[in-house]
Amino acid sequence: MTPPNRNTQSTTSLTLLESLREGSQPAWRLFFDRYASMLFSIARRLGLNEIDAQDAVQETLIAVHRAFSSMEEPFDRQSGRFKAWLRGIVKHKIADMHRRRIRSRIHEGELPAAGLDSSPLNAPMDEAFEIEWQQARLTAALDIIAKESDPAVFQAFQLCAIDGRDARDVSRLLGITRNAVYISKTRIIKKLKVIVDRLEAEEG
Amino acid sequence: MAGCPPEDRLRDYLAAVETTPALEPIEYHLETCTRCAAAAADMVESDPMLARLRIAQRARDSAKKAIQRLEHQISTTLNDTDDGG
Repeated sequence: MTPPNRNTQSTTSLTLLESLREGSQPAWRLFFDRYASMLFSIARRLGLNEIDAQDAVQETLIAVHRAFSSMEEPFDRQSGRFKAWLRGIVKHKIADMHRRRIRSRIHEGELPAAGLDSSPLNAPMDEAFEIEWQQARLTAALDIIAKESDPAVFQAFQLCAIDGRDARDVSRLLGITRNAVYISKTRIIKKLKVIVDRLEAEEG
Repeated sequence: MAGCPPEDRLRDYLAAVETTPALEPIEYHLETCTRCAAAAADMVESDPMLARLRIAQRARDSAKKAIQRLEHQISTTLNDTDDGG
């Protein structure tokens, strides 16, 4: 596999899925950047330890990759089904990982051999997925802005708005006016709303 | 500074998705008036989107190492598959 470049940060969701179908490595890179962290957070939120969460995400992403590599259409892209499809896969992988852990603990004699088939994940899973999906949309929008913005403006926004640094410090650090720091904050937040709305609309 | 817009106009500007012709003077004003630019930046502090963005960014930062490991593992697995493994 050749190292993918990162020049497709502005790719829209539908274009991204289309590129995945065509086996594009940059598209896979972008897909990974956008969803791996989200899936990992869901798995952690639903009680998996770090190693198990990593395994569940790995299995999910490999399943996604295989589905896109196959000739069959994994879901109806035009009707916003991707989200439900991905949720279904990760839900299954996380539940499976929980079952493996329970089986292992039963085997070790730490748990009685009962309740293995209970699946208490449904409601918290849907809630966790929705929360993490929205966060992933926000960070994806921020990545798009980072790509499209003047680097100094974006850095000013990061330091001032995200990291909470004082505007005077940021101004001195970056060698720009304090006014420019304030403006970076207001303009990027406005832009973020536009891009978040666009991504949401693209999801269908 | 002369011509500073009232607070509600600043809020209108921040809330607007597009900067309409009616809001353009405010955008220009912010470029030269540090006091209003600072006031607008302060107003953004109470925007729920900024709070959510900070949470999302922190979560992403804290998962960074695990995600790097994952990236390596997946790349290896897919390479093995590509190679017929």
